[in-house]
Amino acid sequence: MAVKSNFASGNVLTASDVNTYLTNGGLVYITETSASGSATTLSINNCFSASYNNYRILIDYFQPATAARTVFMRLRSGGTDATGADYYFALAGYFTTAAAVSDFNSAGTTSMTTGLYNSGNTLGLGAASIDLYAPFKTERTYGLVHSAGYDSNFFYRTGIIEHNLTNSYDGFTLLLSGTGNITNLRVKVYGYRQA
Amino acid sequence: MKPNVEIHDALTGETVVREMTDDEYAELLATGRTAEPVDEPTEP
Repeated sequence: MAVKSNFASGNVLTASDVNTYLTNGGLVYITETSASGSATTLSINNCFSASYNNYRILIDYFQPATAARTVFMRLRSGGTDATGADYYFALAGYFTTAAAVSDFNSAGTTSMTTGLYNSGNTLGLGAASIDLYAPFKTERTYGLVHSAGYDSNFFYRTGIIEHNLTNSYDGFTLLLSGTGNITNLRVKVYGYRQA
Repeated sequence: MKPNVEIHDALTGETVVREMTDDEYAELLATGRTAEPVDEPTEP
């Protein structure tokens, strides 16, 4: 539904207009959750649907139980992860000291990075914002990642993620680069309004 | 003992924590995840 854009000075803003704006924001909230600290993976089911083509996923407040972990992602459907070696990613970035972060890339592996990395089991080091394109459509899924992390100094990494199968997915799983539980992690999912 | 998985359902708002199934655990191990992960940022 198109948002009305021709208000003029002196017009009355009706309840209907307000409701239209509230239900048609650019980003529409879908769901959120937090890690309980007792599991090694965190999955969200039924967050992707035909209602939206594209999604924004925000991840923050990360703390691994064991030091030095990256947060990875897998797409899933019907409660089952896509586990084939069909994930691709390429990220690059810089530390706040101006030193370059090691390039982080993979072509054909079993998960894709979110870029979020915490070098110690310290609460809340880093965050990630991911735009995910068409995960529910029977097309390849692309994503753009912007992430902040910490390894003795703060750094950013940005780049692309890609899943090469043309399957439809209704959710995703977050998992760590190594063993151990996710002590803390917050995730919010939004859909991009279609029109 | 296998690790737990946590699953949140966006439709119902319910969250469940349960032990991994044998298949899920095998898939996790197949990713090559170890206690000493590689390919991480390096200290400047």
